[in-house]
Amino acid sequence: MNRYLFIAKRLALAIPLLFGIVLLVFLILKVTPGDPARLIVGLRASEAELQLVRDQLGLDDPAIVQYFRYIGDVLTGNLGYSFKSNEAVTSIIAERLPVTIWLLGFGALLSLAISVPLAITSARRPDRAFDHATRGFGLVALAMPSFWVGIILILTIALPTGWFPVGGFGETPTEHLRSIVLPALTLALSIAPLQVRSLRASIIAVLGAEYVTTARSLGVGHGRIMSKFVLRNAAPPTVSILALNIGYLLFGAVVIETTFALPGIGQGIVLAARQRDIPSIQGYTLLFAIVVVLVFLIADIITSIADPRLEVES
Amino acid sequence: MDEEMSRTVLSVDDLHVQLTLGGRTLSPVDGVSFHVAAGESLGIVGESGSGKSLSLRAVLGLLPSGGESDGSIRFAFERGEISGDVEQVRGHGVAMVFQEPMTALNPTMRAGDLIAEAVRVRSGLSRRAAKARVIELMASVGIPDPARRARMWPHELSGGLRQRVMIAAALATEPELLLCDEPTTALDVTIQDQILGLLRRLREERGMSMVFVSHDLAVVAEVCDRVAVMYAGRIVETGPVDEVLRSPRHPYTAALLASAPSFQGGGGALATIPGSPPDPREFPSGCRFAARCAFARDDCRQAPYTLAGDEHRATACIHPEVLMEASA
Repeated sequence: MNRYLFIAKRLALAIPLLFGIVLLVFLILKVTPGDPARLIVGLRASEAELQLVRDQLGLDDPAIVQYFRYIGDVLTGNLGYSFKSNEAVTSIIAERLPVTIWLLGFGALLSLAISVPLAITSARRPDRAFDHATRGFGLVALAMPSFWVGIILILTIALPTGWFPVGGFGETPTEHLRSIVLPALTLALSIAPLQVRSLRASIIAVLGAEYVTTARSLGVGHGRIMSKFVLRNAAPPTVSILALNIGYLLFGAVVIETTFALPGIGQGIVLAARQRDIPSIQGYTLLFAIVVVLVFLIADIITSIADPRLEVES
Repeated sequence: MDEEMSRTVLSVDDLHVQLTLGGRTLSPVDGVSFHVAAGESLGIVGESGSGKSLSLRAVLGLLPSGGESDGSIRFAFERGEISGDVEQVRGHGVAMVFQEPMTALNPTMRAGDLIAEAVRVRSGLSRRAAKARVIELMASVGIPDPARRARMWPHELSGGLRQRVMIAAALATEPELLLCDEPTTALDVTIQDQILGLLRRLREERGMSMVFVSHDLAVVAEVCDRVAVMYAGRIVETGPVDEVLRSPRHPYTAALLASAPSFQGGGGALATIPGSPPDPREFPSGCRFAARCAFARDDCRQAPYTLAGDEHRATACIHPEVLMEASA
């Protein structure tokens, strides 16, 4: 019961935050130099055409009226229409979002598959050869930019073997899966070092806890001590670090989608910025902001589930 | 019965513990030997830093990181003798109860699940079968409403209940030998009495052997048959609890008794032991208590350490007669 209350509280806290974000996104339109109507009609259009568009968009209304209109639009699911294609921004996002979800989802899974075993093995014997090697490779991986890692993976895996396409997302789920492996691996390599470091440190700390000694005194085996006594206590700091890095991850998605020509949100935002397609930029920004808020919320929920004591303290 | 009583469940001989801290090596346990017969309860008493808890932990190979022990530790269970491999006895003959029931329980594991883990170690029962056993164990250590409490987290339980959960988990492994590391120190006095009563009852019911470490002679007197008094990493006196309390043969034991309110009737001022225990980085040669001993003589500072006496009673003091003269 307490846990639901905790989640409800966090959700309630997210609402004013989202209103603030909508305000900032609205201001993008206001502070961007140049006349949005001019962007739509083009440089050679007549004054009359320009005024027509200004009236359509309500650009002559007071800013406060425009702001409330924008809030009303956002609340009813209308994020405006692209200056370039005239398509609804919501449908552009709906088309691109699955690609990015595939990328982030598989990237996160792969990063866990890489980092959890490495962290456990390193923490079991800290400061031994394996630990040092893991840390060394981690530093190297951390220092390599994603676009470079992506290109190297294309050159050394995709091209010689032909197992994975060098770019694009394909048409069928099987093709999607094949297309996402290398981008997801690139993403995983960029975040795994952080996870290994954080998880390794927390596992070492937890291994020294008295309740682990209790488990050993009862004859509980190594594997069960790790899975039942250590990991659940060691996870929360790593979950927080992952959540705090969500901005970095989204940025990573932008770079990786561009490298692998994946038609996702990241590629979309680069395109929209290049074309000065302000409604699309606003839509993507709002989406990113909502994702960040959601990820923080999910991290809080995971942490509260992992550590039952948090219910009481909240 | 005679044969059973004569079996020595635990034999510790010449145990040393080395701790490496910040590049320096200490020997907080320096040649400790003790034996526990089947069904017997041995108390180890000493002040903080005397090495009593480390000795106990060394028995199960549970020293903190940087700690290493050597010496002979042998177990003789009903199923046979074991020495050398502590992993074979943890949860299989020996279990341990810790001082701080809050830190000794996994904060992210429900009370019943911890006991179920221990049941599993012992019998490999399925979760469902273990459940009934868990509730039975919780009831047997006096936890009211065990089915509900089994679903609670450690932080939702009181200190006394937490310690009962710890004891239930230890019992789940059906130990022949129970090691208790100051199990009542962190508890309120009334709860302390309940837990001591529980331990005494369980020992009688199950015929368990027990090693009970405490800084409190009164507590040891309540649950133990024999006592070993430790000072600065060594045992300075052993014997049956009542005899040692009545007529100590080591000045340190006598000083401990004089400073404990439980043994000094009336409202008189309690004695204190002057000075403080020696630094384990530089133990003095000869008798380590000599610097604080009211009866120390010159030869005490050269005396080599030996526990003089027999199985029944022994003291490391080379002048035990001074105590008899003092009390006469």
